[in-house]
Amino acid sequence: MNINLKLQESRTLDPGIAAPLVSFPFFQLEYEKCIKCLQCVRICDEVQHRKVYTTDDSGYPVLVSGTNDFRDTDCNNCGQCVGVCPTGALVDLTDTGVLPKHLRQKTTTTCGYCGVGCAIELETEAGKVVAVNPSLVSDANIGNLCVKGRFGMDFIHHPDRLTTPLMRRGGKDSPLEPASWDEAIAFVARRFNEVKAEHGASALAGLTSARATNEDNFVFQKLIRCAFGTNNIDHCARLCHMASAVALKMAVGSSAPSASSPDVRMATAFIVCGSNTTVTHPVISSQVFRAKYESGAKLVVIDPRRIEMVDHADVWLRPRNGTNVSVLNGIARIIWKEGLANDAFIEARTEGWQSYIENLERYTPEYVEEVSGVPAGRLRQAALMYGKAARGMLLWGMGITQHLTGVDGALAMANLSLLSGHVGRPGTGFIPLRGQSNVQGCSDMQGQHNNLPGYHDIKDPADRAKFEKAWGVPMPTDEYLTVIEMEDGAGEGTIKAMFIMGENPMGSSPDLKEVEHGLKKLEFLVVQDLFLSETAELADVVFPAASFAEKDGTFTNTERRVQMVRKAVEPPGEARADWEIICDVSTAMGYEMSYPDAASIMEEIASLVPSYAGIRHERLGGSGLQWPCFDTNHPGTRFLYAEDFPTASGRGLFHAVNQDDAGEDAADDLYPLNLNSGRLLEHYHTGTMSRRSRGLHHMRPEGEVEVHPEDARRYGLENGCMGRIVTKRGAIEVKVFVTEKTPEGAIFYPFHFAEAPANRLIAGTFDKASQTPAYKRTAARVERIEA
Amino acid sequence: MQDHHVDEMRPREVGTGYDAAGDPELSLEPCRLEIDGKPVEAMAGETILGAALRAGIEIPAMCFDPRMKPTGDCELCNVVLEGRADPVKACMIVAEAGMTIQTMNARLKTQRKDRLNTYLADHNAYCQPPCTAACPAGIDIAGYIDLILQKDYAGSTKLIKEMLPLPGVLGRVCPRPCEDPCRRIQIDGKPVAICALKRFAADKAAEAGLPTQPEPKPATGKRVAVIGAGPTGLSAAYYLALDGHKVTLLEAERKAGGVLRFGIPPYRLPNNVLDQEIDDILALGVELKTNQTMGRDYQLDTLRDQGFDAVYLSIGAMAAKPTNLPGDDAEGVMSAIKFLADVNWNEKVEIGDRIIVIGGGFTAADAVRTARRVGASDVTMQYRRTRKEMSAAAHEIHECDIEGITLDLLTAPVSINVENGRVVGLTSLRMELGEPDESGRRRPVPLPGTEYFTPADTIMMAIGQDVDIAALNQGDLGVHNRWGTIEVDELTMMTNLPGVFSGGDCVTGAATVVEGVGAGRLGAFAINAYLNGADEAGIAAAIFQHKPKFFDIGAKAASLAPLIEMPVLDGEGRLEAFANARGGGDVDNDEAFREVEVGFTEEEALEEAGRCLMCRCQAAGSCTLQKLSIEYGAGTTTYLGKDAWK
Repeated sequence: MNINLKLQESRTLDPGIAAPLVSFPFFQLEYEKCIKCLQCVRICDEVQHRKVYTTDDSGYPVLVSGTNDFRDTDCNNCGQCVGVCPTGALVDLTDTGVLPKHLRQKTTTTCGYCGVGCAIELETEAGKVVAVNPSLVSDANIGNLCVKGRFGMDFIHHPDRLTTPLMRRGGKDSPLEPASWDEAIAFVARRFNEVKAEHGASALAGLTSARATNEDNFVFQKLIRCAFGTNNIDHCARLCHMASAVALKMAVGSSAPSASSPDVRMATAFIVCGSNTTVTHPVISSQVFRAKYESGAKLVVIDPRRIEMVDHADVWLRPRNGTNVSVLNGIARIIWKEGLANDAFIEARTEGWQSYIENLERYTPEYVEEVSGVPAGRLRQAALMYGKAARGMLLWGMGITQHLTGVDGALAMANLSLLSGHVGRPGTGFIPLRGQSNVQGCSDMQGQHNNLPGYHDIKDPADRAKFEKAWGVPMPTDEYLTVIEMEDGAGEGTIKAMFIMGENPMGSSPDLKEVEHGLKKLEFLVVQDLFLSETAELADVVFPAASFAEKDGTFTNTERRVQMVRKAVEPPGEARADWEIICDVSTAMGYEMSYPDAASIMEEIASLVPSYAGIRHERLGGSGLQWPCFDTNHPGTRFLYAEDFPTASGRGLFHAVNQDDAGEDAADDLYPLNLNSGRLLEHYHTGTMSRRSRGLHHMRPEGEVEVHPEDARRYGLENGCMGRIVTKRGAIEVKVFVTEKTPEGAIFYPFHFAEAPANRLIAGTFDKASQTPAYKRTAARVERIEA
Repeated sequence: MQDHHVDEMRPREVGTGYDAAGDPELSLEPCRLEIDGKPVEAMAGETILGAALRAGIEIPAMCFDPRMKPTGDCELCNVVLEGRADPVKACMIVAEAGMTIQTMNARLKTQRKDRLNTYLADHNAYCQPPCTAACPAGIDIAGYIDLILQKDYAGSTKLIKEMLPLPGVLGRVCPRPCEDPCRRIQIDGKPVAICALKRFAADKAAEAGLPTQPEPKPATGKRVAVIGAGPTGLSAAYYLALDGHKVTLLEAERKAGGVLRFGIPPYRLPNNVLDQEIDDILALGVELKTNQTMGRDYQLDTLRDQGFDAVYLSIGAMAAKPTNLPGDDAEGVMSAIKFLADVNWNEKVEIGDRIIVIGGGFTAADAVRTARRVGASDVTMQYRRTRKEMSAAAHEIHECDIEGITLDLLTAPVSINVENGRVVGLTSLRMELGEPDESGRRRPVPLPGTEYFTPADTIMMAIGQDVDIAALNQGDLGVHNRWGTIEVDELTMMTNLPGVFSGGDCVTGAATVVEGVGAGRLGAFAINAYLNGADEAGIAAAIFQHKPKFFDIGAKAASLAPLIEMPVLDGEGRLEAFANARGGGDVDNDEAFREVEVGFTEEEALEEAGRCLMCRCQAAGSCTLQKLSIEYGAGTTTYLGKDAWK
């Protein structure tokens, strides 16, 4: 144990009268039940690596702050200590159950928040989820959970849940009123068919959901292609990792992450770039820490913000916003020049080496320092750590992709992997960390860049024939539109009707004013969701959908792991599983679809998607199966590219990429700061779920703009004052948080808060190859609002 | 194969925090070892504990977590490794080919128990709230109060019925052992009105006609005779029927209910409440045969020939203890239990105006209060000790005061004064309290020369009841000679006759209704195990499994309001009704016998339920310490009170 945080003042407490340690409203430690086993202290220290607990002189766990409130420490309420307590001294205050634990019903399922895909156990009583336990069954999280997974599930029974279909019977200006399923489905089918008849199938479009199951997504894209008859389908991966997907497709032939959680635990060096891992993927971060603290792995963190990962880094590179490519190229050049490139691997497994290194020449450490601000010496340290490692692992997030040069950034990462040969072996590889529970599966099912399920090429006659045979209708031939193009098309009048399932573009898309304009202009909008989201408020018909706890299906996580989502409770009111609703709409539109259950949808998926060919619901116990899984005896694939790459030549391709800053929204006199947007630990996406969780909302009731102390001084701001963030697109009013976390000249604001949405500020500018918006860099200023 | 000398064998200690299982680069061939005689395959680098867990062999551990490096701190996972004198820590030692491991022996068991007791020394808490621990039926009291707060009265009643099939009855007549240790007393001196809340939930559920009983399991085809349809027999019948057995209740009286019917007067327990709850039990397919006297209508020995696979004896303790007082055969001397039965069966009684009841228990209290209700104006209760020592509930003694009953305390009868074969009064002797006796109550000591006379028309004896062994027509049935109770094996609840089980007052001697109901439930589980072919150990395990276990602390006051007193009929009104008493004959429609306790309104019930501290432990049922302590018999199952750790 490495508890070196002994309190200055010695003290012993009396368990009979000592007040509990409280982390309101999540948990508390009650001393009378404590047996001083220190499991809580250990898991916090050894797994979470946080400075929260220490022990008093009599061996009881106490807080390093010397107080009774976890708020006074680094605690981020992950609740791992609650899960590990063998006696119930740590009490889950969010537990709303009445029965003793062993008499409650338990359902093992997969967490519906981020892309880590943690196995959880929902405890239910009288048809309600009353508590969440971690489950040890899956390799994805090996029993770890974060605050959202453990304490953020009360949105399931929130009174705001939609319980009946709603529709506007008297046109756009009439109110949304409850309707029967029969009436709503018939109305939706008639209106879609009318728009299609009048304007053609290409005037219709659908947005599917990275939070819905594979089965829901598969059925939805089938609706769009077979009943709507268009290729206009997309989802929010466009907004996050499409740049990675495009880049990886170019470099290694597949958009998928190559490695898995066990590989993360085995790696000996990491480069974590543009990923606030402890916040966005807390359970992955604990596995990085395991590799670091238990096996001595080295950690390089590249991030302009002083995120928590920085505290654990061996080397921290702090580039100016948007200069990733130069830094990554600089690292590559050092590895090459130091003779650390894996020549055998490059020779046997790659192409394009020569032109790649020619381009690298100019990224000398001095040049990189000039462009990015990263000191040459530190760049070298980082390069040697990864270059010399036995097993190197790359993790990245939106810091790479959400730039105008998003694809270039991701290509630069892939180059590093190929250059060092850190791919295709245990403990090596790269994982673009997926943000939502089923982004990977959603992409697998509905395709991206106009692919059919399983990345079948819609332009390839053989692939088209396969699906036409299976589905009995010709595949559409129109050019697809992306999320942003659909929204623009709506504004311009080329898109007339949309079906949006489980997405909230009114929070997640850039330039919200334009999005709102577009969605309002649609002739007909259908939204299917758990709640009346900002997008649903604009809809003509709203369908109430079942949450992940209320239906069966599968999620594919960020390591290609297909895991079961199991029904634990009934949906509220008349809400139904997404796929059931979609089947009814499709059938009413004239293309018949019906399945007895979600398992039979998976059978159809398996019959059409080779990498899912061996996946069946009944095979998905424990850790699930990682695709590719070619037949029903196949054990799944933990890491990819052991033998070759799925490119035309079977080799990995180097791409010469350059630091290209031309189109970024650069700061100027009027807008002197760079606005960076991103996520918080306590919230998820546009907050429709997490902001309806009592505990999570209590932790973070509002967004705050992070401002560097120097900038605060310069612009007359102070901690806690109200400020107005102004960009060329709009302005929002928020509280100011002065912190050195954000670098001078840059501000950070999270995008979870509908009442002050970050995306009202952000331009609709994109990476050219992937159309991923540049959320990470917008010129802005902050003005003080006098109280 | 190398030939090791045993002393040189050094098991390798695990270096990293988790097994290297699933790591193809590091993975070597799995190795085979033997744990508890079973062949087990361990992955390379895996610890003994890890291999055992994967093979489904349980090794106890308190400090093991797959996410952290093992420390071996708890020492519970110590196992015997062949070739090593001392036990080794299974969480620390890497499994190697050829190891032979034993996970349990007498020494390990003792060591583990000692370790658990060390942990428990720091664990100043109980898994169950003291109320549940004190309840002979083990009802989840905090649970049903919580459901009342959620206004789920049917759910609340359902939860009660998991342990006790007569919530409306017990909600009225239970002596409430649960309320004495209630931790609310530590806050404002008064317990939560647990019993009254139970009645409220049951009455509300009955009023709404909501289902509160689970569906019985599919019929097993097995038949059980339950002899005696009192609280114990009804309870046994209920749980046997839920398990799918065909139950026949054989009752000697005209109606089912036993002591609830003819021992407890209707002003405490109205007959319609009792009828309703008996009907609910019968609705599960239980057959009731009344007027069936053993020895006359059937024989214990021949029940098996009549197709019964098991028998449950629950005949209670209904024979009044003999008094051995001079003059006790005179006219006007009777047992209180007989008097109560006569009144409750609607017989007219002639007892005169002046009544003395000897005794201080429930029966005595029922007798004096019933005597007032049939018209006696001068009613006295004579008791050897003081109010404090009376075994009747305090609130009942309080009601006696309201109803104008004289308490003559610290006195003992010497002789009954008889004239012309009829009682004229009682000669008694004053007592004082001496040293405590084995029951903890101070022993009454006579004060010589203090004899005095009290005139009386009727003297009733309420000094206790015995089992009516004669009525048993015992045959070979084993009977406890000293106590005159039926002898059963404590662990299996079976008598010396195979398949014949017994419980309740006829085994324990006269006790409370709630104890009888609790016993009936356990008897049902014993019989169910027996019918499923369990041996003695299996039957004992089935009983143990359903016994309430272990205990807790950790209070959160939801409300600081004082106790809501149970609303009762006002004293004036009662006395007026007594003045017009009709001497019995139709107690169900007699104003004098109207139920005294009115019951809570919904507002009162919700406010009172809010006083509950919900002090059970959330982890009960999933707690490792609890599970292992039960398994190894560590710790105590007795509530030691708030100062337990001082």
